[in-house]
Amino acid sequence: MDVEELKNLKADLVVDARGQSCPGPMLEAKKALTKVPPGGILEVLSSDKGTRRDLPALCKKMGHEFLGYIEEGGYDRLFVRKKK
Amino acid sequence: MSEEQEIVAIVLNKGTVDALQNLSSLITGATMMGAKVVMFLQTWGAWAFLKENIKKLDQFDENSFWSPEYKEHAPKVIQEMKRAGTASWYELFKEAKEEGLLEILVCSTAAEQWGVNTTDAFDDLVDDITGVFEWHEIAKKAKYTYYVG
Repeated sequence: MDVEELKNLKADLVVDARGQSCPGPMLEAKKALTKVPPGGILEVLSSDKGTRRDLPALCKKMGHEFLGYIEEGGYDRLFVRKKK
Repeated sequence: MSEEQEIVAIVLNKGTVDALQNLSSLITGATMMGAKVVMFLQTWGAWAFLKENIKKLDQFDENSFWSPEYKEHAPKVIQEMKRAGTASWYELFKEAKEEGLLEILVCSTAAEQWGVNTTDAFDDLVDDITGVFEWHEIAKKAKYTYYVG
């Protein structure tokens, strides 16, 4: 998905992990995914740069779809579609 | 332990907070990716997991057990860990344990070195005491092995 498509996504759940270092944002994302319905969207806010690469790796492993990220001032908005 | 499950083996022969804190990140990464982590505690790793020591191993305390070569940097590292919301190494170990993805074994020789012969002397994170022969059998099934010492 490109940035414009990501900006138009409506997340089912937003988890704010800004200010947390690795592996904090990943732990938050994994827990939050249990609360998102199948096919739903999770948005993760993270200021840890490693999340950009870690989250796609976790999604691939768990069967979820990593949709991409948007850079904001000092943090990223990362989007995951939970597997159906 | 299922045959298909990926195993990561870790030999720990270091009992300092800087080693444990970094190790906790590696364990969390491995377990979140679905691997089972099996640890083997040799002398100083076993020392760290003794009940009388483990509670003193606080990564946010500059007077805790830091590697001597890094101790002078402890205040700055602690300040940065607090700013970054770094999780406690013990909590990360505990979380992996509660998910059933972390097994901790103490080397029987190390246990003897500290004058103990049952797991009662160790923290609840410890599963059992075993020898290097069983460890060899576990480690040979692992995809990779870390040695931290």
